Amino acid sequence: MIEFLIYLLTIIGIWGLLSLSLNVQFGLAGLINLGHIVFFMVGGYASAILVMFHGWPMPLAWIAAMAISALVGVIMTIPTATLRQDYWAISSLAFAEIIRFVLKNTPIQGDYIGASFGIPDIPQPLGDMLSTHGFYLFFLVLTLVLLALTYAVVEWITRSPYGRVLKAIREDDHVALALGKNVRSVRMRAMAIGGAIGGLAGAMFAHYNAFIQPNYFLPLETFLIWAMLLLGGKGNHLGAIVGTVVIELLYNSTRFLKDFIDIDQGVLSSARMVVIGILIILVVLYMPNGLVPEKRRRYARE
Amino acid sequence: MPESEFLNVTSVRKTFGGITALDDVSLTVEPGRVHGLIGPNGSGKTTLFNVITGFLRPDRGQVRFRGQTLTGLRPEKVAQRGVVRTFQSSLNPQQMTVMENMLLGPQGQVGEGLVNTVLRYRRMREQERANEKRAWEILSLVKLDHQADTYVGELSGGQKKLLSLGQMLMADPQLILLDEPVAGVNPKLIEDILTVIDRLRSDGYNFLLVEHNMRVVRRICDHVHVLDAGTVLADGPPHETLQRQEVLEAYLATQAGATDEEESS
Repeated sequence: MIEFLIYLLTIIGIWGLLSLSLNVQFGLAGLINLGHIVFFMVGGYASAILVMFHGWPMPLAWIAAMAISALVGVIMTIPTATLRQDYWAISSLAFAEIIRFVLKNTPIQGDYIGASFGIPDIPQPLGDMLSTHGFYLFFLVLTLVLLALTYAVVEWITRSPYGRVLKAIREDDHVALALGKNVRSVRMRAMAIGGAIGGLAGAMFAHYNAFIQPNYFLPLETFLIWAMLLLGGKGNHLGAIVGTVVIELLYNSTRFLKDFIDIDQGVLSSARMVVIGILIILVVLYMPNGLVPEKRRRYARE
Repeated sequence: MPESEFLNVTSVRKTFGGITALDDVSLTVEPGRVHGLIGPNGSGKTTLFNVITGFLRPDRGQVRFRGQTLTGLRPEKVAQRGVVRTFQSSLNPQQMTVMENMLLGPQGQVGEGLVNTVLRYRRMREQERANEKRAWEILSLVKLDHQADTYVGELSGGQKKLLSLGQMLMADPQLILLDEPVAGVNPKLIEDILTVIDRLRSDGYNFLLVEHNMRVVRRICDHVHVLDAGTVLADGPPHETLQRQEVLEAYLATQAGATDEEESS
């Protein structure tokens, strides 16, 4: 039980990073990124490849994974100059799928590493120094520290004048442009920040799970992140975390449910997506601001 | 500065497919005055605003401001040179408060660069404090100081117009383009808006405004330019210009009765 709890908290931490990063892009800047999982995927692959095949030390590889994912975010902003928001959303979904298919069809080493086989035996940080139990405990602490740090960073961004400009382009560009804001650069930076955080989450997941393969990064995963954000409260970072906790609890509950209800495991795992889907519909209809709505910043006259 | 060096629009042409929205439009805006841009619906007023402020690129012709070319600059660059505008309908972010909207206005905020929020933290704090102080002053001028923490989505149409104007003032502009500053605003608030514009004119701000309400145009403008079907039909002081036969005909031909209606509203 305690092992499962540690696992669950670690997964919540890693996915919490993903919802925070989507919150910067969508919750603040209004970018409807339907390919968010691409950062997770690219970060995971980048770190695994750098560590395993290029001998990079893990911390450096994680930083590189963040930089590469940030770059992916910047590349994704290029069509925003010419595409309307809704069309861009579709292009982001396609972009993530294209990258996934490229990885799925690219052998990395030999015949059995890369492509659809994925990357096995990814080294775990301090994996050979700690016991199995010790490693999972260590990784949980590491995850929570990085999550707290990221939380502080995104909160800082939100309160800064830059965060204000992000919110200004969330609904419409025109006023920001008329006030001299370089909207394209503002957007690009939001995608880079979100990309970097998502890349960190991906690198962490790869080295935690010790195995990644392209089918881990289906569009469904992006929609799960969206579910977390919409349920928790877009624009509020605490909300993003709350949403992550609720969705992960729901998602993992089937593990226990099968002990109580005599139902096929496959049916159950499909049923949980149905439950999450219904939940999202209800939230959008009756609680459009989520469980923890965005805070209103109040100003006092001096 | 010589008058001819403020805002000059020279031979601007803009077509959309087969439709000629602006056909060889030239006009000059002089400093220290309120210029009105009038004309029937579809005569090209907003298109001209868009061309001046960089939201549209003209097919031909030139826009110069204080001796520098604005044509071809992106909208944010035009704004950075001191030419700002409001929009016909409020496009302000609804889910931001009045104060947050105001604080978007100031130019050169170091805190808009991410690294600078850390490296130049103190400068950022100083700027924020100064900007907040100025925002409170302008908010009292536009009578929104009691609404500073209200979401823009909760304001009335007239209040949104006042906010747009106040927000543009935060940018410390040299020329303000107002697109229908009193359209759809209740009469009491119209008076407030006009008082603000009067006051700003005497403070040395320069305006070019599009407006359909002729009573307002007569009251506030020193000079009007009449557009019809993409060309400048007439220009001069409002009282004299609005009496001209060709101006009356242009209005009657395209929107019979509309001017009277709007005047009485």
